[in-house]
Amino acid sequence: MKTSSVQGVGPQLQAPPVTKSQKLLNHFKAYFWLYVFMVPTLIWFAIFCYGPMSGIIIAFKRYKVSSDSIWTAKWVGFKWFESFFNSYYAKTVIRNTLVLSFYGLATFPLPVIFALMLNEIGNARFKTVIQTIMYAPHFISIVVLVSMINIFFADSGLVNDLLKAIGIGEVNFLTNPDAFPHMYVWSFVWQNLGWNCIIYVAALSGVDPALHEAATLDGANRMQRIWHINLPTILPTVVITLIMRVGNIMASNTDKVLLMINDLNSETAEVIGTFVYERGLSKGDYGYATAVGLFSNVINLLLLLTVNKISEKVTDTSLF
Amino acid sequence: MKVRQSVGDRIFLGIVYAILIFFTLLCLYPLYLVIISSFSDPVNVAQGKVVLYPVGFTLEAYKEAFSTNDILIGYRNSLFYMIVGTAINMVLTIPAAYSLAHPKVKGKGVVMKLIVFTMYFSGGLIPTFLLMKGMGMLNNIWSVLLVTGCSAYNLIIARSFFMSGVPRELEEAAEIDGCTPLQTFLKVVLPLSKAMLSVILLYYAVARWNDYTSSLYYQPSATDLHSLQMVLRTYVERANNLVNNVVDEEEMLYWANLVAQLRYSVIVIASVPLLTVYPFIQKYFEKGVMLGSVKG
Repeated sequence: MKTSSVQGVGPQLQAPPVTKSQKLLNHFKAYFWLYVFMVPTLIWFAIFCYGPMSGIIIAFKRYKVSSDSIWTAKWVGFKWFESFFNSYYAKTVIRNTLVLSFYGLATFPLPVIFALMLNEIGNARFKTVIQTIMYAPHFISIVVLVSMINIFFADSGLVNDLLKAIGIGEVNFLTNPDAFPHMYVWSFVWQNLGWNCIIYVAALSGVDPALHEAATLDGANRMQRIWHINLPTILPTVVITLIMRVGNIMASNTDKVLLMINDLNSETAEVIGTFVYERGLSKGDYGYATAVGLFSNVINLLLLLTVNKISEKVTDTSLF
Repeated sequence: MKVRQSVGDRIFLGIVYAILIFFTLLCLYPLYLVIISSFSDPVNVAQGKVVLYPVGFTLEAYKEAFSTNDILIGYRNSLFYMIVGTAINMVLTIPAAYSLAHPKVKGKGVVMKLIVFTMYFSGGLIPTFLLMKGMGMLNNIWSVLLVTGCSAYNLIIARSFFMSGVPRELEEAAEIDGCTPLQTFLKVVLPLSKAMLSVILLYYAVARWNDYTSSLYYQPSATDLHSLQMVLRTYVERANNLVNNVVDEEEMLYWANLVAQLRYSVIVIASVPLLTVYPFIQKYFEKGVMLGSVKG
């Protein structure tokens, strides 16, 4: 525009100078709908995600439902944290949470191995059928899963019938505190192994077939090709998945533990999530329960950031 | 290129097949067993006679389930939460994802950071509960419908798809032809996104249908609004109490009978809707997962 006016087209044809605010206004006019699209979502995140975050302050307050609002309640500093860490529960629930998490974390190679195995299946039809069946448990609910555990692992259930038949004898799966971590972790593996393969199967589809041909010509066997070609290809994906898992170390699946816990196995089954539910919603110790929840949340965030940083340095792979 | 396989490779492949088939059966059999047990006489099931097919075929358990009031109400509620809830999810996820993928939109970076942050840090159960309470959403449908209104993870999947899966030139062409961004979105972009939309729809529908904690946390005294999974949980709890032997004998007998009758049929009833749907869009799962792993 400017050049044309300089060349003497005449000032009456010159576009009015566009100010910054007008430019912005034009931009919003042209893309009005795109901003409208965002509004409900932003409002939702503000209310339902950031709203509760502001409620965290009751972890530092003496809040009673009957009288106070969150904002006017009296400050108590770190009282709730102190009383949690000085209690007998702290050690138990933190230990139980960590045991379940690390035990679960130890099973992370399984989906990797299964994806590598699935990748070896040449018949596409057969592979799809196997995958379909392996996904099925992922789509049943936690409630149904625990119902099935209660049916099959009861004292007179299918599994105990089998164990008795082969001479091992009855095992008390449902109420024995020692059995709980195994039941929790392996039922998770059963339910999610197939599903958790997907990400690695997808990553494996990016392997260049020419690499395999070259390696075969050089005399590499299947195992060697998997180890030296397929595994390195999906390693970044494995690292990312691991970082995410580590960022959840202090959070076990509360939904599931709430269903599996009973008076007899609570010694190993009581985790931070169920403890927060019990103390907060069942007993109404809001400040105390919020403090315990905040503690695990902060540890998770710190762990995630730390592992992410380490991974960035060591493997060049990071979450953000 | 067909290369003759060495003996070692064949043995290796044999082991791979064996392990995969074994695990597949391990996934399938418990589900199959539940189904055939649901069609069998409970006495035969208790005696361990039902192994490969129904023994003493009967539909009694289903009749019983569909005449049990709280199961029917739960089923109705769950259908409602799934349909309306998933609709809310899609409305809160898809348009915003498109907007946050559009090159012309300002402030995307900040907004995405704020959204991703919520994946790693949250207020926690009690502050969320108190917020619900403060907004008057306890013991009504709104808490369940809105508390899981949008998933940051699904939003990231949708956004990654809009950034890479729809050719930008098509949108530009539509705009040159005089389409407003709204028209472009509805008439050009959405029809091209069916695969992604169906995956996200399934993810949300699964989460909605299988949700019991929203009812547990936010509808403590409105049992007539509980989802089916929450109703089933009550049954699991009673069964647990039977295990613990803390109920009186009469109640125990009543529940033992009911649970024995219903335990298999309710599992089937609660699982069939999802188990019959997911195979149809299974081919899109890999794509969906890959989109989700793009950095936020």
